[in-house]
Amino acid sequence: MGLKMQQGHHHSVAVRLNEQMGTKRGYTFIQANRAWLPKFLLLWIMVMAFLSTMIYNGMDADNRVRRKEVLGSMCDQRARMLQDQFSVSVNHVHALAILVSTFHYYKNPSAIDQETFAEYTARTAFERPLMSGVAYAQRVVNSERGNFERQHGWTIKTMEREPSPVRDEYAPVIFSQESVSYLESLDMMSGEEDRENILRARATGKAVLTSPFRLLGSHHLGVVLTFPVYKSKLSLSPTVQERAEATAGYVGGAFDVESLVENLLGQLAGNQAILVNVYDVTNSLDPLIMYGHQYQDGDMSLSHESKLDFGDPFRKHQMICRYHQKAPMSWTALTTAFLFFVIGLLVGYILYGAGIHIVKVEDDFHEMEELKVRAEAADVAKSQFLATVSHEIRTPMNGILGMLALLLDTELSSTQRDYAQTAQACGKALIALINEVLDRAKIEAGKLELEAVPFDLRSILDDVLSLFSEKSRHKGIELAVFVSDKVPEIVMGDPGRFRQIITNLVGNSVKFTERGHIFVKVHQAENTKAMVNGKVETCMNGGSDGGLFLSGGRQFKTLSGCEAADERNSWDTFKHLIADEEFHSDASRKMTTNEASEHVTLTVCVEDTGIGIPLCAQDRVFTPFMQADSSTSRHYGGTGIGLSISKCLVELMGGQINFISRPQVGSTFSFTAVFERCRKNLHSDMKKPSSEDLPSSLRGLKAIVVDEKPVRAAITRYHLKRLGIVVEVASNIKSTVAMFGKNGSPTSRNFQPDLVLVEKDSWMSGEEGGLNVRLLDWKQSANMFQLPKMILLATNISDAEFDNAKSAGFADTVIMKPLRASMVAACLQQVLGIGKKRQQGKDNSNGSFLQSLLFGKKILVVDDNRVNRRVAAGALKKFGADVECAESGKAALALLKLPHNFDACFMDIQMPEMDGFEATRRIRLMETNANELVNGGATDEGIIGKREWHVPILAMTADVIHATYDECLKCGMDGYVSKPFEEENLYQAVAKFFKSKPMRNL
Amino acid sequence: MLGLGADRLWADMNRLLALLFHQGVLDEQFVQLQQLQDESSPNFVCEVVTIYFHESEKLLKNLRGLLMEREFSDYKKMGIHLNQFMGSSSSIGAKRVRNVCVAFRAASEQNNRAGCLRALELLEHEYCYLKNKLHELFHIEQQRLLAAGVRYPMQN
Repeated sequence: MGLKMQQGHHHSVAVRLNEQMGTKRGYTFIQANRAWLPKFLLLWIMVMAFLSTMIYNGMDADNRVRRKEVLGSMCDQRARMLQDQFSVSVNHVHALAILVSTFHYYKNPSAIDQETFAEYTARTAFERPLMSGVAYAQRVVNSERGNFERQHGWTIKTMEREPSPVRDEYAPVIFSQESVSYLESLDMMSGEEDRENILRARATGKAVLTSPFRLLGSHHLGVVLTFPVYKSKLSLSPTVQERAEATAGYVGGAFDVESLVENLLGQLAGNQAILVNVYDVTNSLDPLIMYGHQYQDGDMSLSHESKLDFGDPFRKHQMICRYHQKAPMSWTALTTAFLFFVIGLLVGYILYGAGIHIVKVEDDFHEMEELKVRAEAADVAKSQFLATVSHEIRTPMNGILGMLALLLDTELSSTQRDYAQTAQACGKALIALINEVLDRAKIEAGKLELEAVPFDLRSILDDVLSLFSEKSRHKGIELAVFVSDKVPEIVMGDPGRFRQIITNLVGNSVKFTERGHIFVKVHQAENTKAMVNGKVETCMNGGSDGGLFLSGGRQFKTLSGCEAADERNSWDTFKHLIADEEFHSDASRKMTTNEASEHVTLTVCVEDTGIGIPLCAQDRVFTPFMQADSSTSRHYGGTGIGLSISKCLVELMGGQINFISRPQVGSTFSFTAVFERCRKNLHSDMKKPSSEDLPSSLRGLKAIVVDEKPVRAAITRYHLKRLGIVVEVASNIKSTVAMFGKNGSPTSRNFQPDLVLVEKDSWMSGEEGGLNVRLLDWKQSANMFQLPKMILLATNISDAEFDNAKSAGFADTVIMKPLRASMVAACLQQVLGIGKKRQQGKDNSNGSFLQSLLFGKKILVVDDNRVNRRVAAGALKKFGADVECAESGKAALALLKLPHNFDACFMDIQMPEMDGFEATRRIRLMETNANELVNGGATDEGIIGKREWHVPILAMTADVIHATYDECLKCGMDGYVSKPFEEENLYQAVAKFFKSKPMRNL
Repeated sequence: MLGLGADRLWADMNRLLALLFHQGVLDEQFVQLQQLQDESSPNFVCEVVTIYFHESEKLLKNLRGLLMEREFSDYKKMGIHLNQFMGSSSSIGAKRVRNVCVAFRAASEQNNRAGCLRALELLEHEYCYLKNKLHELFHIEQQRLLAAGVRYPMQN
C-alpha cells in the first residue's frame, strides 16, 4: 500500500513540476501573435496591391500628361495654321475690296466690268485657296432700282431666284468669280445671314463673318466673309450713319471651311491620330459646328481647346482636338506594377513562411522543454521512489537482521549457526544491494566513483555463493567457485561493485539454469591468455557443430558433466591451468609477490548450463531493460537491467565483459577487471571483511577427496586448501582404499588422512557396500590410533539417502554444497570438536563492547517526539549510558553550554522551530568562538592551550539517502545513526568517538 | 496450577503478538522495544506505549480539528503532525498506523481533502485497534507477572 501511495505521490510531483514550468514558459512576440499571422499576410498583400496600384497610377499619370502636352501642341499648331491661312485669304479679299473701290468708283468710267473682275479673281484664286469664290454686290437703294435694272438689263432677284420684292435697299451681285457666277443678279440682302452680315460690315468697316451654314453650291459647311466698299474716303472716326452713307457695295467670299480644314490637316503629320473639330462659339450656349462630326467619337477623356481668331471680333471660334483612339495601356507601368506586386507577394509569403516556421520551431521547442521537464520530474520522482522503497525494505530487513542477531546469541548447533549466519550475511548483502540500487542513479549520471580498499576476493565470492546456495540446492544445481592460486589474496578495488557484478551474473545463471552446474572461476588474466588463444576458434557461439550433435550421449568433462557453451572450463584446459599452477607454485609464489606491476588483471568466468541466450537476442543483452524476449520476464521475472549495470561497472573497473552462449546448452559470461595489488603493510590494518575469518585450527590436517570428476575435485581441493588442509585426490573409492592400504603401513609418503571426503555421486556409483567393508577391513588391519573421519559431499540429499549414508559409514557428517571455506570449516570443526567455544564468545562482542563504550557516558538526546525520545533514551540506557533528554533544538542549546557536561549528543534532524542542522550549526559556532578565545589567550602559555571544545553530535534520521548524510557532515555533525536504533549501526557510529579514549579509566 | 496459568498466559501473549505481527499491526521494532526492558526499567514498554497513546490522542484530536475547519487550508501543519505521528509509530513499531500515516501525508501533500478525511478515518480505526490490542497485551502481561510473582515464593 505504501508503495502505491508513493507512486501516486511521485506522479503528483511530476504534474506539479509541469504546471510550474507551464506558467513560467515564455512566449516570443511571434508566438504570442500566431493567430494574427494569416491576417498579417493578408494585410501585407493588400498593402502590396495598393502600392503597386499607386506605382501604376503614377506612371500612367506621367504618360497622360505627356499625351496631353502632345495633343495641346498639335492642336495649337493646327489652329495657328488655320488662322494664318484664313487671315491671308481675308487680307486678299480686303485688297479686292480696295481694288473694286479704286477702279470701279474712283475711276469714271469704271475700269472694271464683269469680265475683268472674273479674269482677275480667277487669276488670283491661288491667293485665296480657302475660298470657293468671291463676288461683288452693289448697294442699290430702292429709289435707284429702276435705273439699275435698266442699266444692267436684268431684274434683282432673291436668293430663291425670284424677282425681288420691294425693299429699302438691295445688294445685287454685279461682279462674280466664275466659280460662283450663279450669284449674278441675286440680292445678297435677301438672305437672312448675308443681310445681317452686310449690315454689320457696313457699320464696322471691317471683314465680317457669318455663322456657318450650308453653302449654296457645294453644300459644304462654310462661312461667308463680307467687306464693305466705300464710295468716298471716310473721315478718321466716322459714325455708323456716315459709313452707311458712304457704302457703295460689298465684296463677299465664301469660305468652304470643311474642305479648307481638310486640306490643311492633310498637309500635317499625325493627321490620323487626332480628331479636330472647329466650332463657332459666338453664342457660347449653343456652339455651332464648322468642321467635324456632330456626334463625337474618339477619346472623350482628353481634349484640347485652341482659340481661333479669324479677324472678326464679333464672332468667336475655337478648335477642339481629341485623340482618335483611347490612350493605349501603358505596358511598362503595368509590368512594373505587376512585378512589384509579385515581388511583394513573394516577400510577404517568405516572411509568413518564416513566421510559421518560427512558430512551429518554438512550439516544438516548448514541447521539448515540457518533455524535458517531465523527464526531469520523472527522474526526481524515480529517485524519491527509490529512496522511499529502499527505506521501506530496510525497515523489515532490519527486523530480520535483528532477529538473526538474537538467534545467533542463543545456543545453536553448527548447522543452525551456519544457516543463521548465512541468513544474516544474505540480509546484509541485501541491504547493501539496496544501497547499490540507490547508487544506480549515480551510475546513470556518470557520478559513480569506485572505491579503492583492500578486500579479500575469495571471501566475497564465498558470500555471493552463499546468497544463492539455497536456491541452487533447491534446484539441484551444482554451484561452485574456484579461484586460481595466483590471484593475490588481498587486492585493492571496490568490493561492493565486484560483488554486485558477480551477484548479478550468478543470479542470472541460477535463474536460467534447471540442471547441471554454475561455475565461477577467477584467474589472473595473463594465465588464461595462452589458453584463450589456443582455443579461440572452437569457441564460436553456437558454431561448434560436433558438440551439438553428439551432446545427447556424450559426457563432458565439465563440473557436472553437462555440456557448457564455452569449452575453456572443461577439464582439458582446466587441468593445464592447475598443472601450471602446481608446477610453478613454489617458484611463482615468491615471484608474484615481488612482481613490479602494481596492477593485476583478473578474468572471471561464470559458466552455466542453462537455457542459453537465443542467437537473435545476443546483441542486445547489455541494453538496459532488454531481456532475451518478452516471455523471459514472464517465466523468470527480473527487469533486465542487471547486465547493463554490470557492463558499466566492468568498464569502470577497466575491463570488458563478453559472453559465449549456445541456446539449450548454456552461457558463459566472462569479464576482466583491473585491481591494484595490495602492499603487505596494508594487510595488517585492513578492516576484516564482514564474513567470518577462516579458522586456523584446521591447518595441517590431511584429507583425501574422492571424486570422479576432476573439475569438481579441484574445486573441493581449492576450498580445503584455503583452510590449510593438505589434499590428495582419488578418482574412486577403490583407489582410495588402495591408497589407504599403502598408507596403512606407515612407511610410504607419510600420508595419513584425517579426513576422507567422498562425493555423493562417486559413492552412489561405486560399489554399494564396498567402502564399508573395506573400511572395516582397514580399521582392523591398520594400526592407526585415529580413523579418518568420513564426510559425504552432496548437492542435495533425501532423508532416505541420508540414512543410507549414515549406515554406510558416513556417520560423521554430510556437507551440503555449494562449498564455502567457512562452512566447510564450521562443519569440520564440529566433526573434529574443536574451536566451538571460541566462536561463540566472539559474536556477542559488539553488544558488550558497546556496553563498555557507553557505560557511564553522559548523553543528550534531542528529539521533539516524546516516544522517540523515550525509546532512544531506553536503548542508550540499556548500554549503561546516563541519558538526558531535550525536546527541541533550543532546549538542547541551553543544555549544551560550555563547558560541556555531555560526552555526546544524539540529535533528531526534523524538528519544528529549530531543526537538527540549525542547532548543530549554532553549537559549532559557539564552540569555535570559545576555542578561538581560549587558544588566543593560551598561546603564550604554551602546550596546554591545545584543548578544543567539540562535543560529538550524531544525527538521528530515518532517511537513508546519502545527500542527507552529506548535509549532516556539512553542518558539523560527526555522523549519523538510523532511526529506530540498530545495535550494529549504533556501535559503528559510537565507536568512532569513544575508542580513542582509554576505557580502563572509567 | 498457578504456575500452569503463568505458562498459559505466556503462550497467550506470544500468540497475540504473533497475530499482531502476522496482521502487520506491529513490526520487529516492537520486539526491539521489548528487549530494551530489563530489570533496570521493568515498565519500559508500558511507559513508552503510554506516552505514545497520550501523544497520539493529542495528534489525532489536532488532525481532526484541522480537517474539520470550514476554511481548511493548513496542510503544512497537518504534515508536521503526521510526521510526528509517523515517527512515534515507527519507534514503537506500529506498522499499520505508520503506513496509514504515509498515505495520509501523501493525500495532504496533494491537498486532497477527501483523501485526507478517508485517511483520518482509517487512521483512527487502526489506532483504536492497536490500542485495544496493546491494552489486551499489557493486561495479559500484568496477569502473567502476577502469576509469576505468585509462583516465585512457591519455588523457593
